[in-house]
Amino acid sequence: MKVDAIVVGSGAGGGIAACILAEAGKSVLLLERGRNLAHSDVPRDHLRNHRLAQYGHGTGPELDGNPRLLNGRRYRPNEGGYNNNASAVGGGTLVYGMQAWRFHPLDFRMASTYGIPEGSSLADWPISYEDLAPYYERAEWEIGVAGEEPAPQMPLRKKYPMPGVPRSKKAKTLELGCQKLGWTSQVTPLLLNSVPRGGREACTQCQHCVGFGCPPDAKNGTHNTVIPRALATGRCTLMAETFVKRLIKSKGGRVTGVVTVDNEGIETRHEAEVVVLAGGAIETARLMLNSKVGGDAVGRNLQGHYYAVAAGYMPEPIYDGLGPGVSISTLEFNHGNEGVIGGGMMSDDFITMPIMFAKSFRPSSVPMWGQAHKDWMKKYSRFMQVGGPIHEIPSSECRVGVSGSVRDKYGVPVASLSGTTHPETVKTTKFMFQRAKQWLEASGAEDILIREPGLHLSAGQHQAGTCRMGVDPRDSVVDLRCRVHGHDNLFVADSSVHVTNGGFNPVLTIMALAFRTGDGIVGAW
Amino acid sequence: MLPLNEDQIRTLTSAIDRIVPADDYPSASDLGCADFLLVLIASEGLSETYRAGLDGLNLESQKLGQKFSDLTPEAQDSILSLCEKRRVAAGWAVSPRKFFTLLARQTVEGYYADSGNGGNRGEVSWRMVGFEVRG
Repeated sequence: MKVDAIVVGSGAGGGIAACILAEAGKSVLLLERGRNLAHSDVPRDHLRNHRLAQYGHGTGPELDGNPRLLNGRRYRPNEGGYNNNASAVGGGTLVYGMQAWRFHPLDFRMASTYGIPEGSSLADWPISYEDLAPYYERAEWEIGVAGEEPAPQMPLRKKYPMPGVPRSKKAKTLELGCQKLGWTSQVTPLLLNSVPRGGREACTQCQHCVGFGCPPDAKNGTHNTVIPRALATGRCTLMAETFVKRLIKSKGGRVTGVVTVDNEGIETRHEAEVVVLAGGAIETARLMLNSKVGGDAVGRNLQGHYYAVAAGYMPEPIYDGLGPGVSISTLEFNHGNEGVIGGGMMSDDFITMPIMFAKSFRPSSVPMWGQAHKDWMKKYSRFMQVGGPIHEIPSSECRVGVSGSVRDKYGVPVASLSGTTHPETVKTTKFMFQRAKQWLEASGAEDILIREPGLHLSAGQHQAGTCRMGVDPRDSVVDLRCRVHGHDNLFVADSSVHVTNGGFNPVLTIMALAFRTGDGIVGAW
Repeated sequence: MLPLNEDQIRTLTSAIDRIVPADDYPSASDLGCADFLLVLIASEGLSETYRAGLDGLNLESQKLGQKFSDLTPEAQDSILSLCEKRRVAAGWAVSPRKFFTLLARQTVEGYYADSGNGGNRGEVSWRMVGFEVRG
């Protein structure tokens, strides 16, 4: 059966695109490789979640049969080198940390602001903050953000639909640290019900947030907002556990549909007028490469975020157990930093699981076992960390390819990641580590731990950039409407189109772009 | 079927109680970490590594004329410490350092992760560090 539109992937971008198309009267087939999970299906397992995926991660992709390569080495979905994002209906939004940041206006103009470092593919976005602002607002209201006033570094905007989460004891201490340093701060905006909204409950401030499901269903993702809206039109069919093997092309570059395979291995052809890709920056590029669609630019400029995190101990216990745990941020260092390109937002963090504390924050002076280790673990309630994502300086050689020899359980060549970020990213990260340390020190923390960053590929949950938006098909993949150059009915509605990835968690930008792309498709139909 | 024999389980229990010893709060085995490890060893396909490593610990303790589990805590610590520092003699079927690191890492996982995994019975380690679960 032919539908008006096929959307591949039901995460932050795909869920929104499907909703806009269905509400505009189009018949939509929304395809998702992962399962349709309720929050209660995602286990509260401290060793198998999206923060610590030691032996699994509680969603998809399944650990067996879905490998990826990084610099030639094979990884399973729960291993760091895989650069995973959750696969499930709602994608990463089922388990994410929901930070609801708009990118800074200068994030769209990195090349004009800083110049282009040699060997980097740093570029301006072909659209501006102002172009995206109305769509940011739609994401804030239609998915649902809780927060307060923007920091003075950001343009004014409409109030959020919900008040911000209360400040934790840690955040109150960090606020005093900011005051001492003369830094401004704000409540961290979250895609979370801080009060009941949309027929769902408010956050209960539990301790298991990022990486886990949300028992009261207060975490606002696409699975509990726009996807139900799409289904309510009666025009959208959601097919979970359905993997798209390849795009079907006709002569002249038109994409006429997709070939899917289900859990039983049964292949089906689906035809559509329009196809929207939203599988995330790695899987969208892989699908295009495996389908021989798009030019040489497909898969290039893979980027995510380096993180500069400092951790220390307060003289007295400071843990108050109030989730989600992230409630204060500073935008002092997103731009205007002497001697480095860009910067990033800094926040306190989600409540750290004790086993994460043990694995990520043990100083080299503490042994990995014995009484001294146990004594150190007892400092947990005095522990505090701050940090945040660094605006990466991309390289066109950091890329997604497809393997010539390794295939997944369906026989489809797997994604093969290679390259690293540009050295300027490391330089900015070093600068931001010092700022994180400074913030903790001013807040009264001692024994502060930071780590020396090295050059590597970063993608993971913030993966972006592999189908860059631009005017010239030689160095971009999609045009200003996020339509693939040379294919007038093929669109991309995920982070693949990001030219650069901002000094912020990128999900609200993915959502805003998906609203804009969806509107564009409907408007030109 | 258990992935380890009785002797190996006895050695495992003694060794993990040096990784997380008892103080005002229980030891690793008191909180179920041996059971946690037996499940994990089977599910992660680690039987061979653990068998070889635990036999290796007994190989070292034989030099002192005793089974590892019969040694004093101090003597057990010094053997584990030699493994950590790669200072044990040849004759092990697995790298002593690699085995020790795995044992220490996974014991800590059992002790501080959720009780649903089999270790951290009664969430005692969470009470110890001050991590509360509400809601």
